[in-house]
Amino acid sequence: MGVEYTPFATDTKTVQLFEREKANETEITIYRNGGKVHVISGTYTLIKPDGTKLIDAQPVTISGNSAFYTLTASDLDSSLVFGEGYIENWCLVLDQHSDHDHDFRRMAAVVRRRLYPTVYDGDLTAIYSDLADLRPSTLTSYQQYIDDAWWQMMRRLRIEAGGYEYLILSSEVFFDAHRHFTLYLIWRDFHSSLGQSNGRYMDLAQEHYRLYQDEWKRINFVYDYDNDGKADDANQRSAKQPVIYTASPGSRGRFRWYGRGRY
Amino acid sequence: MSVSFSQLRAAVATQIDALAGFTESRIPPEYFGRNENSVAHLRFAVALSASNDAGERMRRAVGVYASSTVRVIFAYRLRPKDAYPTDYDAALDTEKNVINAVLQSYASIEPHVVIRYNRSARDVTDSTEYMIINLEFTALHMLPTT
Repeated sequence: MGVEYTPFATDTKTVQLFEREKANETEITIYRNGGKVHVISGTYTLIKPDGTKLIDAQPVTISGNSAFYTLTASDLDSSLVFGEGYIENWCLVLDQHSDHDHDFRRMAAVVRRRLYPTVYDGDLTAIYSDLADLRPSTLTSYQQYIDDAWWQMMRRLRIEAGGYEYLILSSEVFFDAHRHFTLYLIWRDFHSSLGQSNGRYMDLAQEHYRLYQDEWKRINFVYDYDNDGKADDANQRSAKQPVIYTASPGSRGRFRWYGRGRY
Repeated sequence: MSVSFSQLRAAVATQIDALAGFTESRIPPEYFGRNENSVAHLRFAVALSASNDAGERMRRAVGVYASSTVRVIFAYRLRPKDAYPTDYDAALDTEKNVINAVLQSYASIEPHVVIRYNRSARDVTDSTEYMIINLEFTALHMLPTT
């Protein structure tokens, strides 16, 4: 009889980033049916891009139903190659299907520095003075929206724009896009609570979504392509990566060559 | 001692204005809904919607004993995630505070004003952003005729 497959969720927002020559704690929490799944035991493995194991099946620490592993500064010493391609493997025994272990893999990167956002609650209330009064009674801050907007932008940067956030030196370039996107998430959430098809909150959500898209297109940053911790050229800013089409135009494409002088 | 219509309106507004967070609207009560969203919470307006002779003998030297209908309108913001019942109940509690404020003694503001509570009407705006509460009172006062 085969092992039953249950699609547990690992709440992984993006590639795990480890700062080289520093102690880094990594953590994984497993979710199912709206709650954390209790982790009974487990091991942690970190595989380098060349396939060798930097950490090999070391026991994890379990606290609050999450599994933790601390990578020391010597684990992440200067001999490691910066960049992508590292793989975390969490081999965990859960209290659901505890007759066998589960391997949860996540991509990781060894980086010089992480990128941090610049938006906080005060930046939201700076342009909507009544936003603090509208905050749900269950929240003390709009941080969850700020964080979600940030993670979505970081994924978009990787997927759509082909950039690596940890090579960007100028975090402030994301400020406007991040603020508009956060406000979009807040107003849209407010709108969804009111059970109507339109209204001020929806109008504001749509306005900030358009502004976010505009700002996203305009973003350009100081980049560190060669990962040496310095701007490649501080006066030469990089736009997000261009889209390169690798397929030829369709047979009825606008610039299809039909013969001499004909297009 | 006589109290004019404007003095009566101002006296009631003074009582409400003393409540924490309340500010008087810059827009007449009849157009209360035009207050901007950003300042609408706990905005209020006081209207003297009608006045009548209270049935006493009229003497020019003393004044007309009048009965005026005083309408108080205020807005209470409903937070989208707490609109009902949390903020709805909070709006009702605030309404009670306004009624208490209006019914307080006017001795220090305008003596000889007697005021009683008649009724409340409540409405939630289509946008569900605000609860608009209309309160009606009857004020007995001596209208000056000189």
